[in-house]
Amino acid sequence: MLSLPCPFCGQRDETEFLNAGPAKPARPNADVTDSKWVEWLTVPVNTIGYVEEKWWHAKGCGKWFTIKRHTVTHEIKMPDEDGR
Amino acid sequence: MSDAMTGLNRLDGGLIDRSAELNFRFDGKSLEGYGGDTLASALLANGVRLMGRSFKYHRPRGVLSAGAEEPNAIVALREGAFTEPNTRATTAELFDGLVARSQNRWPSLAFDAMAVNDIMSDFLTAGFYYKTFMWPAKFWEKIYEPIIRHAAGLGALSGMSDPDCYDKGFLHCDLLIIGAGPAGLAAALTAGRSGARVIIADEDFLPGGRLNAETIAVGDAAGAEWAAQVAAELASMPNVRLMTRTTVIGAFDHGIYGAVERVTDHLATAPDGTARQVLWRIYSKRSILCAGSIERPIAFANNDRPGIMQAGALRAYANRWAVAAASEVAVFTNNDDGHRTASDLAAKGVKVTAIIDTRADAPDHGDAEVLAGACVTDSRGRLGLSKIKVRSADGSQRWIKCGALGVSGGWNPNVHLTCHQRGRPVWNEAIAAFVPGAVGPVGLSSAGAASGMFSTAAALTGGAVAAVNALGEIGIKAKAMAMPEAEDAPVSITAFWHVTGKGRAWLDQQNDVTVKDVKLAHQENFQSVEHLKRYTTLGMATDQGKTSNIAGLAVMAEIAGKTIPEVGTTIYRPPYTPTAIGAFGGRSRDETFRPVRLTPSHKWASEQGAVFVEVGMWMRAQWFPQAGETEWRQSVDREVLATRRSVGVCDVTTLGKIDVQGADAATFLNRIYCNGFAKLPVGKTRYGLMLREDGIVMDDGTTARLGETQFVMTTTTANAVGVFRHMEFARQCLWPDLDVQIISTTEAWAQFAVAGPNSRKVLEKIVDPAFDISNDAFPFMACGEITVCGGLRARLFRISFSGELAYEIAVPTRYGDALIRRLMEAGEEFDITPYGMEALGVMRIEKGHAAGNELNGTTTALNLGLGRMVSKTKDSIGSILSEREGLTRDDALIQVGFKPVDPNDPVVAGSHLMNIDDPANAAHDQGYITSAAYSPCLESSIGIGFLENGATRKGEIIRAMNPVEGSEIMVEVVSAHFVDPEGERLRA
Repeated sequence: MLSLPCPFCGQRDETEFLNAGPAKPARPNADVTDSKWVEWLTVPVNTIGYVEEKWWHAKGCGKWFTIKRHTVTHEIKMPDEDGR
Repeated sequence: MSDAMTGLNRLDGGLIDRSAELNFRFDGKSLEGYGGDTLASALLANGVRLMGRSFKYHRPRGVLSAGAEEPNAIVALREGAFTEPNTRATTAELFDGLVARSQNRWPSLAFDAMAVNDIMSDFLTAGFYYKTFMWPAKFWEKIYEPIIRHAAGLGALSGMSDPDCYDKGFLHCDLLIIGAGPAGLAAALTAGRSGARVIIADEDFLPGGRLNAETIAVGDAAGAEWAAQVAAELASMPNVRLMTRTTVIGAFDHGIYGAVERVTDHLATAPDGTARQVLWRIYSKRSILCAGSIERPIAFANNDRPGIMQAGALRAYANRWAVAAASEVAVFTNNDDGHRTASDLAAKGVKVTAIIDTRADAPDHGDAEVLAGACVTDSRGRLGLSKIKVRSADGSQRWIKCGALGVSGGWNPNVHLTCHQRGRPVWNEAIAAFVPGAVGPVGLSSAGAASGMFSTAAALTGGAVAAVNALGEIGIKAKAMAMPEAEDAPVSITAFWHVTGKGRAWLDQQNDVTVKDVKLAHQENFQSVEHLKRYTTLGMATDQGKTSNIAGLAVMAEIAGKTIPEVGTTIYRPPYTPTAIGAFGGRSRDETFRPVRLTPSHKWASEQGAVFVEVGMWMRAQWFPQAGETEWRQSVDREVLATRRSVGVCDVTTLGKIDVQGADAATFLNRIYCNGFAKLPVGKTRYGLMLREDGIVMDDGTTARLGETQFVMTTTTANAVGVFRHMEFARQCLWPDLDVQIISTTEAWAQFAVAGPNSRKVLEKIVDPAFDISNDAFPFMACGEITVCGGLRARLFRISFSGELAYEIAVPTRYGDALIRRLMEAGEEFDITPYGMEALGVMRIEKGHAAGNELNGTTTALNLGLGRMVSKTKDSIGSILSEREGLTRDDALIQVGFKPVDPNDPVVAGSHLMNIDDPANAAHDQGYITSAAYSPCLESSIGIGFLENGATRKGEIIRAMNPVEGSEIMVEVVSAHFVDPEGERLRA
């Protein structure tokens, strides 16, 4: 049970959100190799510590946003960028 | 027992209401108690010491504690469907008319035939399940398990549906205080007066904690009086919510706690509509654990007889409930606190026959004979204690008469909630107990006995200081008030866990685990605490070892030659006490288990006698039986044939509808769909195929271009939400620079498919004359915004899932019911036939259209025979990875149709395909059948599915095998387009 900071609505309960796994870097261009594509798509960072992940405020404003979540303590921070 | 029924065990005083006489029944016997009693206190007052039988050996057991930690006095409350098994008599509040029954005994509590297990105990030691019932394996289900289930266990369920209702609620606060003893009340008062939003919760119905059970004064008042005054002040504060009968059951992330409030459990009948229990989710900024501590017993031979109790419980019954468990009592202790029991009981006029203290330097307060450096070695009394055997410091032994023995092995702080986030408690040698560790749930601190501070003064001050500190962290200034004076006795204890000797000494009374069992586990190398728990069952079941775990660890440490902290504890997990499943379910049960979505034509379809089927949350008409039809196939075949012959109508509102608008809407769709959408003209509809980024098909549907910058997309019913999420992700995260907005309009439009050769004629009767829907003006795949029935705005799409000349017509949802009635009226002259999900399914299989069975998360566009749709001239989601080597093999699975060689053979979905001469195994698998139906048009069963290299194998005969269904038939590989393969009908 988490409490998540929606950039639009503020602090809300986890049940309003949908997790979409790790945040990825920008989508590759069409011309990179298959293996780079597959790596982008299927190899997530899985560290002990903060990971960036995507959440969708499904039962709220519909905003997709990125947070940093600590995989041990569940402490949550906003990423340094504008939180898009 | 002579004093049973007469209440002779009642003392003077106590916090009971003698004006409220309450009648109740225990095992059929009528008894009487008072307001403020628990079932356990009332039973003791009536001289009932025997309250249950143990789990494994069916030993007679009485009450051990006076609280939530109770392992023995586990009873079934109420009757019939309201029966609640495995309830602790110590926390069950007495009410007039309560009916309680003992458990796990046959034929009666006093004479239990299964007590023969006790004699057989040498064969029932730790791990006996694993050793005894290993072999032969086939005996397990039929012989061993029924025997064990009959012989061992707790209460039985009623087997009926729970007639109570439950609720869920959400609360927010600055400070949550868990426990309303001296520490909790001091914290709440401090925080409440500061103006902070405070919630203080206690599992008891009376705030005060141990203050209600002791004779300790707080300032000038008795402890219980002070507690009542503070509770009254808290109740008067608008910023404080004092919740009694509320157990905080778990500590979760980010200051979120779960709590169960027992709203009506203390009432004979719940007022109508009132939830029996409420599961609260409490969002706190800070929290303080003031949950007190639990006294632990000392193990000795036959220490489980009814009458042997925690010393603290013995005096709680005397002080709070004015009950002497017996007329003669003794005390067995390793610490100073045990002596309080002797003093309090002696002061109440109960005869204390001896105080047995394991310490050589035991104090003597003159309440009774003190045997220093002594221990209890055995006990007697078949269904209740009559005497104890004592070994004095000099080694001499003698029997001492007593009907109750208070045992104190020290107190364990209630660290549970501090460990719910995997925190570990730390050992405090001074009090010989675990206290909360440094790392616990964020924002949670502890005070009072829960933190290992056992004196009343320390609890009061600790609670106040904890509140000031916690509020300070969130910027609320609270003043630390001076607390009234109270006892501040230091803890004096010498750890003592069990008396060595021959007989069985019980550690865990609920699970019948003895010191010997722990030794055996150690001997058999189950030495880790987690293994010890599973092998011996120590600390399992309803009490979760609240009185037994630490002693079990101590015995293991002693045998293993380790310290207790080296042995460590098992993991503490929520819930803190047993919680009714109903509370977790709340109102989500039966027909309100989840929301139900009804189509706009639902009322009309019900009037027609439609049979409905759940499709996700939707209820959809499955077929419409007519008079004389006795079997579903008759209805479905009729609906299919009528549609293909003339015209049918079907509610397709459930398909997802997404409105896509913006200057870049076309560009956006061009990237979402793998086929081109940029050049779709206004007024046209196109079939679109959507891939996942890994190249697998995600969904399909049609998208209509209503304007330069407006599209309406449809999705499958099942994927409506998933597709919308996917598109929002793409819009917001992948291409935020595109000017495009999307919104789900699934519920905004009622949509009906009107299909069949006469569909245009029906529609022409309701479409307003201004709109020409002739084949020339409105050809296949046309779309447009029109009006119907004299000015009602509508959308018309000439698309077909059935393969017939067909339209889908949409009107604002509130007109859906009117539209279906109007369509039926207009279609009457053409025998218009409503059709349901089944007929829809038959027609799409006849046409070879892929649906959920084919878009199953493993198939590609190539598999579906749509490989050429994936545009190579643009980048769209999934187009790159759909080109991977493994997904573009020459012998890839291709969607084809199957027809049985013998028309009488049914094709079974899920069948796997094998070549005639190959062995039938996974290595020779040629593919599988995904969908099958009886086609009334072809008068044969048909199927579609995926076959290796299928495009080149038309005409081949192969085997379709389904070992699960036990079917094997010969099928011919055919085109998946069974009906009208050239698509002439839909263009007509």
